[in-house]
Amino acid sequence: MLTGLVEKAAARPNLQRLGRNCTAEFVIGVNDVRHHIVIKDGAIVEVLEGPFKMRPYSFSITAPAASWAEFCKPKPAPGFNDVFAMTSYGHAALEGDSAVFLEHLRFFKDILALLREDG
Amino acid sequence: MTARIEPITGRYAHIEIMGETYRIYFEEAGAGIPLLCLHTAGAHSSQFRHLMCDEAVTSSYRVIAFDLPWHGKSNPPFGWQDMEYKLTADFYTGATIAFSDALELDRPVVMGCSMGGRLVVRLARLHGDKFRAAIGLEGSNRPSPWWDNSWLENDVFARGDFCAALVSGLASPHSPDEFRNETLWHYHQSGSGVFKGDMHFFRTDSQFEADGAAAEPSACKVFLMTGEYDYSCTPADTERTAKTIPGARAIIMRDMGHFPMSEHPERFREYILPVLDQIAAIDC
Repeated sequence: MLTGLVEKAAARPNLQRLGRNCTAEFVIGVNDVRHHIVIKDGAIVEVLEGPFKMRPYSFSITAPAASWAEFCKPKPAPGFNDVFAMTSYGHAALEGDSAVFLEHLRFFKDILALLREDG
Repeated sequence: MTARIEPITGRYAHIEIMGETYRIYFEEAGAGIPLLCLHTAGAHSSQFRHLMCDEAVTSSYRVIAFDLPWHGKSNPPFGWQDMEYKLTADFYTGATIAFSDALELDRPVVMGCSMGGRLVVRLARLHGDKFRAAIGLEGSNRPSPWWDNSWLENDVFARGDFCAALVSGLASPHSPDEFRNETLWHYHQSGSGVFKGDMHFFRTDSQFEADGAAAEPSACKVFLMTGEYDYSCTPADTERTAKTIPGARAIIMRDMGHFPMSEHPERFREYILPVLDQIAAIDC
């Protein structure tokens, strides 16, 4: 799911334009495995797989692997097509500093949409 | 002339709403039974442009949509610069009835989407005699929060790009990209703070479930139509609401999201045309 995310993001100049004022680190959790997505000036510079010992991050989006698998389909079932659909129905959890997420909402949602593409 | 000109006309009307005169923009097309359309929060009347260009609708309906004050090309009130916009149930109800009365619409069918759908539930309950039918698109009788109200205090709510990103997942993945993105553009166009002001009605001042179930059928026919991808007004919210209105019919639209008339007009007409035909067949 996260394979090739750095390269996929780098191939999208408009994504980097949207996030040009964003430098942050956020977490995508799949079951108990936490992946830190490191962003600098709109570019994804690293994707790091845990476990970590208290490594800081802004916010996390965590879900079971089955939920992410449905989210990643080209046309997900109702309740899985968007991060807010998943949190609304309890298929995923958004935790941490939501202000960072909201400040760059379109940027982060577009990063999540990259998960739908084959690596 | 080589341009394809749509049959829609747009005009301005000066209308008194709760003691204040507003310059209101409205669009219309067709002739026949008035079909008064209410747009969603932070958007404007263009959401109904496809219905206005559909001869299957306009051959028997006069489709009319107005921009609420503060929205689209309707003006905010005089002195707007020194006030915070907050939509209330009373103002929304008053604006809708004032517009209908000012244009001398004869018991129109009222159709609203999202916050408009929520208002339709109230109109059917309290003012059913003024309408021959009420169609709530993505409409329910109470807020169903899917984000925390504290977010409203974040300044991002003043930004159109944020409002569009907030609601983008409410459109169905089955809707054509062109129309899904046009729907989101309406949110980009929203005036600063207008979406947030609409949320006062949608999140706080529309707890109509407290009215309780109606004992009598509404004076007008009620249809509640909701897309299965809508997590703002879920199919369960709609079916629950329909049970509180004797005679109301709930219709769940497959593969549809929160903005049926603008995100997937071709699919929407499969659902709305039979409803409009049924309403037209009622002896009024």
